Amino acid sequence: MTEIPDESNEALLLRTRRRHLVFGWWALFGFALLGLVLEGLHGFKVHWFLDSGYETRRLLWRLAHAHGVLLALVQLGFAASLPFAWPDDSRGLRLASTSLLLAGLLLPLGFFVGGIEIYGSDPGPGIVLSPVGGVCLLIAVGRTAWALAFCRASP
Amino acid sequence: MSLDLSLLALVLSAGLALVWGQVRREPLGGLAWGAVLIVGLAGAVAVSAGWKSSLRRNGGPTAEGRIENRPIAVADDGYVSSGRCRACHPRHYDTWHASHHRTMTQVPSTASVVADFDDATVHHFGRDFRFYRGGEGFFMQMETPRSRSSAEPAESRTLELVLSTGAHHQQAFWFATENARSLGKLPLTWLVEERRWVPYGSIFVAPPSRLDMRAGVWNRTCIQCHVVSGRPRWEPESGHDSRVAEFGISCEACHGPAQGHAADHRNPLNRYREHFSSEDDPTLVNPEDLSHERSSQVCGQCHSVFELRDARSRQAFDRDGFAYRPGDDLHASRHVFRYGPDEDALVVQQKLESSPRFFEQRFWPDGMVRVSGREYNGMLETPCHQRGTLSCLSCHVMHQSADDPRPREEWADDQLQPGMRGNRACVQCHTEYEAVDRLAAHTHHPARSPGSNCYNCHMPHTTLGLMKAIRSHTVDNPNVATSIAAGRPNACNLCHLDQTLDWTSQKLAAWYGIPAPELSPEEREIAASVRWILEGDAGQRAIAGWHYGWPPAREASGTEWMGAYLAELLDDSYDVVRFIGYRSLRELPGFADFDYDFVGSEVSREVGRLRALEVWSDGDRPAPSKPLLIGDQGALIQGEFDRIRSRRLDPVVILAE
Repeated sequence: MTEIPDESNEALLLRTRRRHLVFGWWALFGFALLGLVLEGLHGFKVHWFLDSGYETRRLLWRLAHAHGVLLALVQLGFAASLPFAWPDDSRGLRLASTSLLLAGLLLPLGFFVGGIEIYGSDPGPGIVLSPVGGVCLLIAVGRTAWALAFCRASP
Repeated sequence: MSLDLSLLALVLSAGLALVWGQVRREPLGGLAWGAVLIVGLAGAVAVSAGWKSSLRRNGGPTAEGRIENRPIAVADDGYVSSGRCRACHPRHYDTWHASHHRTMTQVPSTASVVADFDDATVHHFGRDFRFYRGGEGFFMQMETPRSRSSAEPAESRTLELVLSTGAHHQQAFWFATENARSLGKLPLTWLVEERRWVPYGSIFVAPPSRLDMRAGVWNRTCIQCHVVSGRPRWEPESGHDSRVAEFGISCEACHGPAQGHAADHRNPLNRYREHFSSEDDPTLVNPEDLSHERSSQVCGQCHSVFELRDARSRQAFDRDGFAYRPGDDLHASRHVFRYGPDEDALVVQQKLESSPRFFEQRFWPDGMVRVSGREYNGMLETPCHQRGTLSCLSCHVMHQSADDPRPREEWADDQLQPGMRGNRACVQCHTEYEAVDRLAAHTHHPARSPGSNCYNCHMPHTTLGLMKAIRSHTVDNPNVATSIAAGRPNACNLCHLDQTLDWTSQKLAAWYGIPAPELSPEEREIAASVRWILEGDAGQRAIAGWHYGWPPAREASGTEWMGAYLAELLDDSYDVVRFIGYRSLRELPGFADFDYDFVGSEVSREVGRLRALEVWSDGDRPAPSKPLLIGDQGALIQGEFDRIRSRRLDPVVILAE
């Protein structure tokens, strides 16, 4: 439980909350827009998305859309739960926040970039971002769950 | 399934623990949760083991293992089947799935059967045949009437159809016998385009057939090429216990057994190493990476006239399937027959002893193969393959490319690369003919006319199969002397159906310096196609008759005169010739709705011929032409017609496609 001397915990909470709200809403916008684009690709029967040879791309981009939207909502949920989880643990807060932001970015982007160039059923090299994002997500979720379970919350 | 069960057991254990905690009104401690986990895992293992044991008792995880009345597909000996390939190669799988290679052998199902089984009833061989579905199965009931005087009921026999062959032009069926996995041949075949059942023998160039329901033909012959890694497994006491790696011609037929490849590529590092490498994948054969000879041999393993070299090889095939694997030297493990320069005298002599007419049933007398499905033999005789790098893959592609705009069905028809119906195939190497003026100067035909299509002169339709004429796969030059000596119709007279051999020999001499042979008066005066129709053998009649319906030939020769000759084919002694003649006849003006049954009674066929002549007589009169035996009034010069027709010897022709 180390305090950061040059910033009060309350200020940190506020800054973190705002960061996740901004990130969450913009990510929600971006990945919802991706969903619309994917629908458009379906609507116009774009062959490099719909043909059987592009099944992997279709799957990866759908995963990018789904993970992006879901993780955007998780950012909003995280922002809402901040006061309950970290009344006074700024180090844990920073770890969970950074990990969640990285997860919100790396996981869907990995799927998207991995779907740009595909090798049969194998994604392109960009897919390596996704497991890194996945690890970040686990850290963020685990750390938040732990904080919620074991911190004495005072909202 | 075992994973599902394991998870279910774990969830149930955790649920019970929670309920127990609620009942006791205090949450479980860490030790208690550990105990729950161990008990749950133990339960999961026990349930999985019980499930697997139950599967083993039932003969395997698939229904295939329990089937006893037909050959079964067992992916072993290094084979894994196309289902495994699909996961990693979806586009390649998809294009193969759309190909007719896949449907060469199928287990009948609603998805695979294109024939009419909705209580369809037909009468052939003096019997009634009824085709129907029962539950998941497909059946044929055959009613054999007793003699007219007998009061006894008809003899009835019901057969379950357990495998089918083809689905593109025709669909043949095989029925279960009481003799292990030996299959019987259904005596009727479904014609896809005509949507009707006809006698099996009627689809081949062969004399009229009798009822033939022999068992074992599929297990001995079809299994060689219509499946992946077929093993007949003949047991003298019990019959065939045939097994295949997969029904139909699938991935591993051309790429070889893929178990090693699949195992190696389970590791993502190995996959990405290959994605970023320019080296060939050592774990699997890709025919595109082979030399032109070896890649063609991959196709040639089925598309050739071949024979295993000795009794030991044949025994090994019966037990283990062919020793040949894609990438091997095909000629090392089997003898591919060549009509003229065949040096392997022992195999040839043995073959001729057992089948004296073996060669004439497959080759023209000049050595060119004359039956479909044996294109590798044709290419072996082609200078472009012998001295150049022509391979099957120069023109054909087994997986339609992603940027090929053609509908999948169009590609699947001959599996040609884009543009290969035109001159692209040839000008890949013969670049001098890319220029329109050079092409026209060479062909002496307008550059964009059928006469300037390389194929039409150098690969004419002199092969027969699937009830039609098919392009020869030996690239050669038209030659009248060969036409006379071998009886093989030449390309010029197959397009210019109204011209004589003399006309062709004069053109070939003037344009290409090909010496004009000595010709008989009739060869000089009567159109070659007319003579092939009237006095040719069944093979010549079929080829000429097919060309009467070929659009370029109809454009070059006019059609007003054709009715008289196509009418003659309606009463031919060969079923296939009648079928081809009728199909060409329907292309003529006034004949589109002409009703005729090519497997009808002799009387109905004669009536059909007379009706066709009547329709022809009522149509536009052709101009007088001595080569076409058309007199001044546009009528047939009947005396000449009958005189030439009476000379037909009609030797027995059996083409073993």
